[in-house]
Amino acid sequence: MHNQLKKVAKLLAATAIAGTTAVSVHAHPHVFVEANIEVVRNASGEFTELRQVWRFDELFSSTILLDYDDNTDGKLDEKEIKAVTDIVKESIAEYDFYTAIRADDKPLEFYEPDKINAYYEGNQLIMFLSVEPTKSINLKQSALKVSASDSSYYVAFEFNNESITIEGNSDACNVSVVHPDFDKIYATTDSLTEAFFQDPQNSGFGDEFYSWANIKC
Amino acid sequence: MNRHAASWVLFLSASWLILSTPDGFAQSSLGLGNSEQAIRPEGIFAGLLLWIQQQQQEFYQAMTNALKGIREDKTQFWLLVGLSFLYGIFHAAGPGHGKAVISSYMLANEVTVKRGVLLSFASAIMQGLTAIVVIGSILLLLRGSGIKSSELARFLEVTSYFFVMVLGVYLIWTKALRKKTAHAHQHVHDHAHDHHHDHHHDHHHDHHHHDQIQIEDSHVCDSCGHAHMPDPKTLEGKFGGREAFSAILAVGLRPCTGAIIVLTFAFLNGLYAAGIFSTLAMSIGTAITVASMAILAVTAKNTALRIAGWQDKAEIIHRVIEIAGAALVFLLGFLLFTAAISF
Repeated sequence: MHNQLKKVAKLLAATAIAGTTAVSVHAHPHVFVEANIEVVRNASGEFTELRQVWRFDELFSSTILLDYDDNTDGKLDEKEIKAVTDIVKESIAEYDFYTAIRADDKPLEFYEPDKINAYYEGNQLIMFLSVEPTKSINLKQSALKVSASDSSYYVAFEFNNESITIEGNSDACNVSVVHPDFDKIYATTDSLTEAFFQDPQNSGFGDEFYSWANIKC
Repeated sequence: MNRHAASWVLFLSASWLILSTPDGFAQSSLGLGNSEQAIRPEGIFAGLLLWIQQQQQEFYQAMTNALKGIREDKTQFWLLVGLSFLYGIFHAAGPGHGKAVISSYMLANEVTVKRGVLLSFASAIMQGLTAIVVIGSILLLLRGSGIKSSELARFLEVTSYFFVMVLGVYLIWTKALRKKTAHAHQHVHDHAHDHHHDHHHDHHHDHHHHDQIQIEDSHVCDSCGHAHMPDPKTLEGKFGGREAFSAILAVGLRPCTGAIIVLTFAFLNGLYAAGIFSTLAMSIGTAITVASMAILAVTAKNTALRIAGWQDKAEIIHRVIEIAGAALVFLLGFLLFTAAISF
């Protein structure tokens, strides 16, 4: 009888672990966004603003049209689009506005954007977002890297070298987009697990899973 | 009957709680759309998840292109159906709830592979039909009413998890608590008998009842032979229909997220047949994966029972597996439900 109880207990424990795993690895993106990123600097080479354009995939965009087109005219007018951007602004505020900026590999804080603009065109929802850094850094002295990414992996962002532009100053800059190296991540799985247990708060743990635009001027 | 009343009260209060929550559910990081529980990949699964994400992105892109291309090129229709079918297979291969619930339910209840396959197909196809009904009714009836497809899908999802939880409780109640007191098979029979008296299947069941007795008798004769395992029919006959239907309903109420998105795009662009066929192809793909898991679960269970050899031991193992299966159904429902409403 005791053995039987033990067996039941073991099975329950195993199923609890299996169950928890099933929930925790339930994440996968259902939204795909093409990002264009514009790095703005002033005459003296200081980084002043980061502008982004996000083009949502047509399938996801259609679900937004279905849900927010209140007057059923097949378009999203100003009022309808505001309902969308209000929700987005509030939600992504908790995810750093899907924006990551690093100056010499250290996080660079930015002010909350005033608003997010958007429109619906050619079956696509397109959003505009602009943020300004709280601290001025000079691109001649510091290496800048920026990323559009969702740490929850609900939205998958896509950008490459052609998606990045540098504005406001004619000095030449070198832009290179680096995507996460999955082979390397696999190879270092042990040390990653270690890193995770030593740093349960996960501060900056996601950096190597993001795509980054590296900018050197 | 008290039991029924209690579950209804529980269900209605849960529904009220869900419907009265302001702002719906800001369940995704974006605040829009039908998200599944989004938890940041970390630790040993991170690399794998990101790799899956990359594959999925390309797959999704191919499906989008096929959908967009249908108007110019009819052959894209078959490409879309094929891609949807594969999407169903692979999407369900991830940790989806349907597969887990059906397999656990199989452990708790069913013994024949055939019924497992049937259950898997019925629940997966119902998931697809739910998606078609959700988007169809939003588009035809509810558009502009303020009811959003994402909220409706969300409501059905949470309700589905809730039903899975209730099904789990019910299974635990019937498998563990009731059986515990049963010394002899007689009790089980009484139970099945009672149960079916408030249904209109008395005659049919009486018949089964007799079968059961015959089979149990034969057990005594050849306990050293191969018939230690309870005959499939004994269990199947117990309360097969109603319980199986509850499992299908619990799983099938949750519309397939991928199908919702494809259907919305297809319907808004007037591609009705493409949307429906793509959804059905996804459902069949999903069913194949779910059925494989269900077959695996039943085979593992039956093998364990066969290896167990001696009849009494086999019976203990059988009970343990059943109870564990029932517990797993409950646990899955509980975890998914609490995760879903805590967002």
